Parts: sequence; C-alpha cells; structure tokens
Amino acid sequence: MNSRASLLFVLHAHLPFVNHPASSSFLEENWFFEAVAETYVPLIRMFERLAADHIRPGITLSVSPTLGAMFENEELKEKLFSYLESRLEILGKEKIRLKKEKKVLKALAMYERLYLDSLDLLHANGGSLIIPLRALQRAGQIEIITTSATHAVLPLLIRKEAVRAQVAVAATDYESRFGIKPKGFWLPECAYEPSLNAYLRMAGFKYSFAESHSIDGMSDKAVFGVFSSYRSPNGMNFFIRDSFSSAEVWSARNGYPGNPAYREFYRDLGFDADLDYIRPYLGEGGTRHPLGIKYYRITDSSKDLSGRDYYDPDKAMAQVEKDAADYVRRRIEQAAAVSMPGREPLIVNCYDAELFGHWWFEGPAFLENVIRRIRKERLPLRFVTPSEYQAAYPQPPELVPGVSSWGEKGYFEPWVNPSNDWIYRNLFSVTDKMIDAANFFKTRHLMPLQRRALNQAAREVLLAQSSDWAFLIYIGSHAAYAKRRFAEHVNSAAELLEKSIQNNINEQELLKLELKNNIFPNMDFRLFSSPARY
Amino acid sequence: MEDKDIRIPHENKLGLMPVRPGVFFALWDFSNVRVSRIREGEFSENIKLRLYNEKQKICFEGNFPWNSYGAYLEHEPRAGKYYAVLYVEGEDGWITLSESNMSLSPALSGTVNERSHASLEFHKKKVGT
Repeated sequence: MNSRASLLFVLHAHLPFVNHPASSSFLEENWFFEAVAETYVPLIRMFERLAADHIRPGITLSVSPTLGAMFENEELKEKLFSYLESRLEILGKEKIRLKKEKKVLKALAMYERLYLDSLDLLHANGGSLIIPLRALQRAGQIEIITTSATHAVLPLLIRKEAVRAQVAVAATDYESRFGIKPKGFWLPECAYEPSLNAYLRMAGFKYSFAESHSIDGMSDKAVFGVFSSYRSPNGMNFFIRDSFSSAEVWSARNGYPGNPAYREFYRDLGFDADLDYIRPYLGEGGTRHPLGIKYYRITDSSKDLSGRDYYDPDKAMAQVEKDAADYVRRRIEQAAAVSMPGREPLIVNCYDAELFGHWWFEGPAFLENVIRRIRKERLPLRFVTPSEYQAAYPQPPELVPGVSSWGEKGYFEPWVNPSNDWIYRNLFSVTDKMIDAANFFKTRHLMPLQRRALNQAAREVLLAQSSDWAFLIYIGSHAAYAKRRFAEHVNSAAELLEKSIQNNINEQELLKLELKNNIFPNMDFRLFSSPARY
Repeated sequence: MEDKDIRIPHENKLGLMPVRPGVFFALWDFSNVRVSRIREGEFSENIKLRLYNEKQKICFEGNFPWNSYGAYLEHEPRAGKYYAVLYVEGEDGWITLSESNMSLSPALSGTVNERSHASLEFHKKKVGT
C-alpha cells in the first residue's frame, strides 16, 4: 500500500512535414494551423499560467523534428497568421449572422479568445512556438524530448543504417533547436524492438518509452509491473505506459472525451454553412472542409450528427471539474493498491498531444485542472519528468522490453497490411540506393553541387520513411495526398542519387526541392553510410 | 506509385519485416539481369520463400509469383529472431538468390482487447469511420 505516487505525463506532438510554398493555401497545411490554435498554444498558455502561479507543470512534451521544423518555417508562419486572421474574420461575420442565437454567443466569444490568444503568443515570439517552449524547458517547468527524424516506425526500416540516420538526425536537430543535448526519445507509435537500444544510446539518449504489453510474460524481471522504469543492459532506461489509466483519457467511447457536454469534433461550420458564405475561407480547392468552428456538443454519440445540441462552454468546464476529480481519485486508488515497499509507484500516461485541444477540445483545461487540483488539495500525487524520476531511482531493475507498438492490436499491422504494403518495396529500394551512394561518396572529393544533391536525397529518403503515409493510406484519410507525397519523396531521392552518380545535377530543380523540403539544414548524407565505413 | 518502377537494383534483394506474432512481411526485388532471365524462361515463374529461425529450422515455406514482390509469411507465433531466404528454380533445381535481414518476431501477449487501446491514431480511426 502506497501513500504517494508519481505521475509521468507524456504528450507527443507530431505532424508530418507539410510545406507547399507554391500554394497560397493548401488543405493539408491546415493540420498544422488547427493544431497550433487548438493544441500547441493552449498547452503553452496553460504551462505559462501554472508557472506564473508557482505550480510547476512537470509535463514531458515530445516535439517531433518535422513539427519543430514547421514551427520555424517562415512561409508557414506567414500562412499561420493569415489562417488565424481569417478565423477572426469569419467569427466577425458569424457574430452578425447569429446575433439572435443566444445559445451560441458564448461559444463564439470562446473561439474569438482562442484565435486572439494564438495571435498574441505568436506575435510576442516572432511567429515561432519554439521560443516559449525553450523558455519553459530552461525554467525547469517542462521536459522536452524528441522522436525519430521524420517519425519513421523504426522496427520496420529493415536497414540498420536507416535506423541510425533517423535517430542521429533527430538528436542533432533537437540540439540545434533547443540548445541542449536531448535525453529522451519518443519511439514513433511506441514501436520498439530491442536492437534499437544500441542506436539510441549511440546518439546519446538516456530514456525512452514502451507499451504496457511489452513487459507481459516477464514477471520475473518486471518486478514492479508498469509502475517503475527499467534499464536495458546497455544503460537505456524505459518507462512503461500504463494502458489502464491511459484508456480513461483517450477513449472516445468510454473515456472522458466522450462526455455529452463536451464539444462535438465532427460537426463543423465548414460542413454546416452555406457554401457561398464560407467559400472565401476554403482555400484554392474551394471544397468543404473543417474550419475549426464547431457550435455543438456531443449530446448523444449514438445518434446522427444532426441531432446535436448547442455547446455550452460553462457546462463543459463544469464537466472538466468532475472528470479531473475522478481522474485523480482513480490514480490515488490505483497507487494505493500497488505494493512497492520503499518506492513510489510511477504511473506513466502517454498521449498524442493533439488529443488535447484539437480532438478533445477540453483536454488542456482537464490537464490544468488535474495539476492545480493536486496542488490545491495537497493530494498524494505529483507530476515528475523522466529525468527527475531517474534521479530519484537511479538503479532501476534490468529488463529489455519485448517487440511492441501502441497501434491497433499492439504490433505493426496499421503500417504493414495489404492496403499499404506496396510502399515498402519502393522504400527498401530507395533506402538501399541511399546507403550505397553514401558508402560510395563518403570518402570521395565532391563538388559542392553534388554534396547538396546527396544531402537533399538524404532528406527525401527520411521524408519517405515517415509513418504518416502508410497510416493515412490505411485509414483512408487523405490517402491520395499520402500516396502522392510518398511517391514524390521516393522519386526525388532516386533521381538525385542517379544524377549525383552521373554528376549531372540540374541546379534549378535541386534548388526547388531544397526550398520546398527545407528540413534538417545540417543534413549530412554520410549518416546513411554503413557503420564499418563511417 | 504501385505500378511505377523506380528501381534499378544492381542485385537481388530480400527484406523481412515483423507484422504481428506469427506473421512477417517479406519483400523482394531482382536485378535487371535476373528479371530478363526469368522473362526468357531460364527460371520458373514462381519463387520459393523459406523462413528460418535462428536455429536454422524452417518455420515457413511457400511459393509465390516472382513479380508479386511481397508476401506474408505465417509461422508458429513464437518470439525470436528469424530470417528468410529466396530461391528460384532453374534447370538444375532450386538455387539460393538472396537472404534477408534478421528480424525479430514479437511475443504474443495479452488479448487483442487489452492491446487495442493504445494510440490516438486508433482513436481517430474509430471516431472518424
């Protein structure tokens, strides 16, 4: 029986690299704008509010290198400002159109505050969210970790050179962005296999995370179950996700986000309003898509979307209070039931950050309420970061987790199935070519243009390895875009490699690619060379 | 992309990826020379794939059209290291063409229900469809 427990809360923020400088508005770029306004800014604001009240959030935030690059991309920054200003413009029109609909006025005011808040924070930081995040980390309020360079599912990469490149590029990218060496590594999709330990340690990482079923059947070694960290023989520490408590938060059906009082995600002005009225906000394509302005609450999820009542922000916040109280009560009960003499049980909750705010609109308020409640009521719970936990318990039991992921059914089926398995033959082929080229050119004298082409080829290969393309194809969401992006990266890389070998590089074409896929400015193609030759 | 041939491999290749306990996905490619020789009838149109565990025991064997370039290999769901070997049949019988990387099969743990509660990706799929 334990009187106190530690909570380790990891929010994994990731979006695929989407940058279309040739288009004034590109549908998939909205993923980024929506997530900034609905998730990243609300989370940063929440961390700042807590810090101002001398309450340390102690949250661990994983920022993927692709998302970090988008935060600092000048063209995306400009488009982001336009997006936010256009939301305020629609809201201005909506206030006139709906002036007699008293039930939506509170929601309208709420959205206005949401977008103004984003604009304020971005203006104060030159358009980049990296600046406030860096400040929060430096002040010890949060711990920021990274993930593989382009969110590749590492156990599926086949070639170890590719694994090493994904991990090494992520480490370099983090250091250049946050000014310190990274300690923690979020495995994309929590996808783990033991040979990764060597690459993670080689790149300087100290800890990572694995799924709860990764320690199933290891009761002799996993002596504390999911309530402790473990260490592999090569010194890599693993925190084990507690699926029991995680499910209470993420599950749309049984978890908190499905409450009838909460905002309905799928009922959006972009689908409800007259097409001519919203056309100026639909971008170049002019097709209906979500605008982020949603007036309804879940009401009854078993019924059709048309049967929804208006959203009441005050009632939703009252529900947040109840859910946060329920969450902490359950964690106290959970910890009390664990027998760990001399140690505090550790409860590890990991989520995609975009659940908080974007999908579950009230998520940031829930999290803030949990953190404040623990302090205010002096509850026997405390938020810890992985580094703090490691400092408190520097000698965890030795264990190597088993092969696993947090995807559907627990392994790799969402990323390898008959709908998307065709991508791997192309990926395998172009990755092999990249490795061959890196081995061949590594020690040779290169013309500057050749070096640029090889570095860009390496960027294209990394971008092709992103887990997002296989996943989007699998779920049938933006599948055509995912296929096109995958094909573009594979073809660009193959062409660049071929032309590098022939020393026949078209500088204009190369420059176009460098400007579009301008990620990892310090890319060194030699990271793809085979270890014995590197 | 599916039908587009961006590959000009210099050698025959075979890769092996874990899918779930008891299932691997194998993918292969041939050099241009090999493709020509298959097309000219020098080798049979089917290739043979074998899956071996680290004790060199055959855990799966099956024939596939040479140009399907990918196949799911099912075996007894036992955790451990596995590798695959690709054979083609010529006049003198089956000859070894390529050997895959070593890949680790997951152990079967918990029930599907216990495991299928993980990511937001799953959440998105369930809510969105």
